Amino acid sequence: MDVINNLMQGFELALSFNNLTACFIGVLIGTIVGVLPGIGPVGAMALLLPFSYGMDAGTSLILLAGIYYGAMYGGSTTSILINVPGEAASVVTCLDGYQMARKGRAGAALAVAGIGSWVAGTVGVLLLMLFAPPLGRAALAFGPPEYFAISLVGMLLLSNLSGDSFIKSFLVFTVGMMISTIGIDVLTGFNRLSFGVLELTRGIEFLPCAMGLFGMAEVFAIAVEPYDVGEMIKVRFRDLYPNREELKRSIWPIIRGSFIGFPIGLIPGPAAILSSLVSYRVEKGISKTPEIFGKGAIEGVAGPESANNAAAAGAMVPLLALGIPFAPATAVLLGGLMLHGVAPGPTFITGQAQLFWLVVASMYIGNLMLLVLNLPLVGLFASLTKVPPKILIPVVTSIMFIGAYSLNNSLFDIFMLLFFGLLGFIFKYLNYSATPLLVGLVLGPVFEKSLRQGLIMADGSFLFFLQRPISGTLLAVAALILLWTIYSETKKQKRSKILAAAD
Amino acid sequence: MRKAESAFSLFVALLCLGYLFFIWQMDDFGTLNEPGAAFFPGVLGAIGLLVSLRVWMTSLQKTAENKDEKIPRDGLKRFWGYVVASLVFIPVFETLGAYIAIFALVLVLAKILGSKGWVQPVGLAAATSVIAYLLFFLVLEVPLPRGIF
Repeated sequence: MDVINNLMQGFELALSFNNLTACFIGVLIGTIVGVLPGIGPVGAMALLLPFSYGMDAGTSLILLAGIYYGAMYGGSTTSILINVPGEAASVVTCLDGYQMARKGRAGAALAVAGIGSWVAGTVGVLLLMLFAPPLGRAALAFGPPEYFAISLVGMLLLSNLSGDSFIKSFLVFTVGMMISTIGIDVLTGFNRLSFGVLELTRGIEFLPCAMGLFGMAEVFAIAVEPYDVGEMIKVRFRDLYPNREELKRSIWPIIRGSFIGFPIGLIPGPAAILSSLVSYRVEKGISKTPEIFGKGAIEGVAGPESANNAAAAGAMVPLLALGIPFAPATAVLLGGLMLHGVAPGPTFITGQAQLFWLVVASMYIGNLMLLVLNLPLVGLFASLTKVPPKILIPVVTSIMFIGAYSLNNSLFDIFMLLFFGLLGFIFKYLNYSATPLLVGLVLGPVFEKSLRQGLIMADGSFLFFLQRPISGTLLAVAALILLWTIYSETKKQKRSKILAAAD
Repeated sequence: MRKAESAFSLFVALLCLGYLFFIWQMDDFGTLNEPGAAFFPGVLGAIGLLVSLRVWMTSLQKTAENKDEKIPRDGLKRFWGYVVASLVFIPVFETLGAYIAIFALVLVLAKILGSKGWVQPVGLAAATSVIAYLLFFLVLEVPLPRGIF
């Protein structure tokens, strides 16, 4: 009953004019950035974060969360209509969505993607509501060894799942943590690696870093190779209804996608893309007609689109219950909370119950808004892709510069934005994933503090970390992941050597 | 991508070495039961150095098939134009003022990205400046540098 009472109170607050407006603006911006190639949700969230100073914590979080899950909706539109994924998670939707559009079923594909996203988003919020509070309560018993072990497992999983190679992602994660050590050490007050530069004593802020890695890098990439303003398949409003057969075939993929996406969202890594891939594989695997996949199977749209929305809700669990973000988008949400003096973690759900339930309620409302907004306005959103890069990109760049400057009214942050933008561009060019760097930068202080405090508690003995049941289990999991990684990397190397010898 | 990748990993290895050098100079490693401010960075620097050398060695072993992906000459020109324009923008942002600097930046970037003629890019730059003023100064009340005004 407590859950329902809390949720009702959340709805009461979420339905205020300010919060509804923030939710609407958030999902609208999210849909737009999801549609536009080049500007992902993380860049947009980071960009808007400095401007949420004037809002209260709840309103700002509603706005940012709206962008996050709104982008998942918007991404499918361009995948289906022009075969260009608006954001990474919608790559899989291109496979069957575009084929459906070519067969004149674009409206049905868009409607099923929208309905699937709504159902999965709602199921995801329901699961978040059920899982986050007990996890938060359990995490109250966590000490430094447990946080160290969770961070280590997160680091290894993220390195395994991001980019094209474990070792490269692991290196990027390490570099991210190295960057996080710049500035004043919170435990001793020691000034580290600031070289007398005042701005460096504050440490490297992650917002210019996020804007640079996920926004500016994309701008540089578009400057090098501007995208084509493609031909769009036209959709009429009266075509936006799937027929009975299509609806029947979509129901189970949507349900399965919801339950596949949520747990994948909990795992550190590119949850949205991973969940759509897994859902696609599952649908193809259990289908009686796998040969139609890739040729316009509605299951190939319904499943993945549902899964990536459920994953977005799943990714909120570690952030809200443990205070640990394992994805760039949730790292920006963490930044939004910290900006308003709210620290997520085990005490967040009980100590800031009103805020937690407000966000949950706003997610229900946001998902409904997205459905209403996306179906009739799909043509309008899709036409945004007609804006040529020579108009869009200079405007986006100038907004990014203002956003970075307004963080501390300092030109140093614009320098940081440019620096990380260039680094992100190099990463793109060399097939490195930028995600581990950002997550490393955010997790670095958690990692360091928990390791050092844990060692002080244990009087310098690492055995202590293994003796505690939760940290011991997590460290065993970390060891298994490491062994598996070494095994699979060795196998991969052997295979490539054999192939090279055969050539 | 072989050459670029090996050059980049070697550069990261050198950065890690430099990082370790400065951490070493801090001389605050502490002990295992009381780790100091240099303890964690020291561990990270060592891991970073080893891993970057491993990536460097792997990139050297790659076959000749993994040739460097060439960036088209036009693209490279636009890229450097973009970087230089952004670098010039930083010092003039405070001296000229945010709105004039934004006008100039958008105009230059639009030209770099291939806008033909002057009407469209000047219009775009002016519109961006006006919208930035309305949105950031009037609505969001973000204090941006006024510069020469």
